[in-house]
Amino acid sequence: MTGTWKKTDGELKAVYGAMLDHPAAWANEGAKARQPFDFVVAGLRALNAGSGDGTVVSFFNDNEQDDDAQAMGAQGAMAPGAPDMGGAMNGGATGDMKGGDTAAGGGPPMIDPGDEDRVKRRKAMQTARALGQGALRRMGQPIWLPPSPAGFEESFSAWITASQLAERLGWARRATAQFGQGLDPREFLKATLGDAARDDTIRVVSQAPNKTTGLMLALASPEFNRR
Amino acid sequence: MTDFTLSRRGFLASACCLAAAPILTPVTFASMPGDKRFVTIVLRGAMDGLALVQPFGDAGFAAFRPTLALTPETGLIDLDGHFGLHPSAADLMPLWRSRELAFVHAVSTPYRDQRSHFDGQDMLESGGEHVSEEKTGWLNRALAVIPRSDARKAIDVNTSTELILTGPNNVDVWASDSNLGPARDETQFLQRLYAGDPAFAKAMEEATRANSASMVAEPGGPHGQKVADVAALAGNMLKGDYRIASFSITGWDTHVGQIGQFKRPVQDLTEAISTLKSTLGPDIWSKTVVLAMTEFGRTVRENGSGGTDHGTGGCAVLAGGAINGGRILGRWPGLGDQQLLDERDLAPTADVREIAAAMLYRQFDVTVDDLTAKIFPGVTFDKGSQFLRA
Repeated sequence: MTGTWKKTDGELKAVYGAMLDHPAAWANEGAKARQPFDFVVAGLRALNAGSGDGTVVSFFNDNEQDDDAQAMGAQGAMAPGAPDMGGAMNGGATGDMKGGDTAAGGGPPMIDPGDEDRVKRRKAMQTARALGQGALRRMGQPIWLPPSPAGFEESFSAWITASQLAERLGWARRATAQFGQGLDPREFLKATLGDAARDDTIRVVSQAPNKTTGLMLALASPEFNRR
Repeated sequence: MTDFTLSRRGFLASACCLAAAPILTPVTFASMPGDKRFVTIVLRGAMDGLALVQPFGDAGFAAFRPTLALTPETGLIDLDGHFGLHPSAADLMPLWRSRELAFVHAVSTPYRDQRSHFDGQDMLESGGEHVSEEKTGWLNRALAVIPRSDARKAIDVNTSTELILTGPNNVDVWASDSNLGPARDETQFLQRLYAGDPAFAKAMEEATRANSASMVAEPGGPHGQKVADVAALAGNMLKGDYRIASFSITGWDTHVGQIGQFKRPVQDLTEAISTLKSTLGPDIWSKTVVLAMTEFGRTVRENGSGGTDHGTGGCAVLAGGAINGGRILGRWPGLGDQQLLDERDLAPTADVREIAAAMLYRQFDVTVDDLTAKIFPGVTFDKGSQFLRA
């Protein structure tokens, strides 16, 4: 790369070319961890979530459209410095339970069309929080917020810690419960990992106690989480 | 990437409510006129019927299960002098005494020899004679032939229906706010998944050790309460316009350390049934049938890991005020050498679909022809079925 830089008088395109031509660029596949953003996007695409054509941006930008989110945003803004997590969290929990309360109040919930829209919007937002930006934050890669100008860590050990792995498992559990209906884990694994799936992984996934757990294990596999 | 619109305020709002994010446990419902109710509970992972209802009166049982078998002296609840109930289901005993609870032993679907949970559950829910024969759920097909069946508009399809109620007939899905959490039987699979990758195995071990609850990673009350939430939601919907509800309980795949692992799903099942009864109230409960069933049973012998493996004959649970219970139903095949299937499994003596057929016949007047042709193709069922007396 240094040689190319000197030879071309700093032609960046040629330098990148030299980098990509170097054998080291193609060795050690699987030595690094797939970072949370890639993990989440790859997982959503594998499950055909979102619009179904690979576009999963809706998981990352739904927040602005919901009146509840605006209200909560305002709450957060009222606490300068540290955001008031507790207060907003309670607000969220109350919102969550509204649906259940309606049902628990006896009989089928009566929802007028306007409300239905709102409920739908709120659910979309909750999904985004659970599976989109919120998940990224908990996995250690808040979107647009690298810890320094150098960007996010590259090393494996920075991404597969005990707590972050637990977050990935929780994400996989939630995402497959919501979007995995009708998928057969054996076929899902083949479509998602192809030849990269080890025999052990194929065996464990196909012996899972139910389909949702099987899908979860596919997304939790080392192969899916390495790059 | 260019489509992202995200302000700091929006991000803060999104980051705040994570703890409240629900994992969605679908409870599916169907609505129709009439008084009677029917609830199906799918026990996913192959429940060990021989652990729930133990044949302590069989001479060979203790020898097959040196560490797992219980006796009335070690906590088993004697039901009839031959069978005993697992102590974790003790709260069901009032129902047993009031004859609102029955167990059907040695039942199975037509699924044989392959031992895949996926295919076994597909068979259980689709009601066919072979894997992939039926693409829709038997309970959904039943809706079409129940006299006076009345469709309702969908409330909200946030999550999809489970296979048992999937099909062309209108079914509402109501996602419970609660979750059933990661099943106890999940950990052993994760450990195997990471066995060949030391870095992942280490992270997993630390996570488990640091806080076994961190693997649960979901907020909420103590376990069991969540199952009760799902059952209460189902019960409340059944008090309204709905007549059929279905949900699942997981955690039954007890290959390893069954003594500890089996307790939790049994408590879940116990709590689900108790909560349905208390939520429905005496009047509606008296017209209700609950059928809990699993994809297949488990091996008669315990394995080297203190667990049991995939078997054939299993156990189904019937509960409700409409049941003539307080009895062990079905034909017990015995555990002798010549009596086991392939020298390893409890031999099935009845088709679990026949129980379901009998309940649909009795609760909703579905005709025998519809039951044997459309809903459970290939099942043997007629007006003389033993389960019509259940």
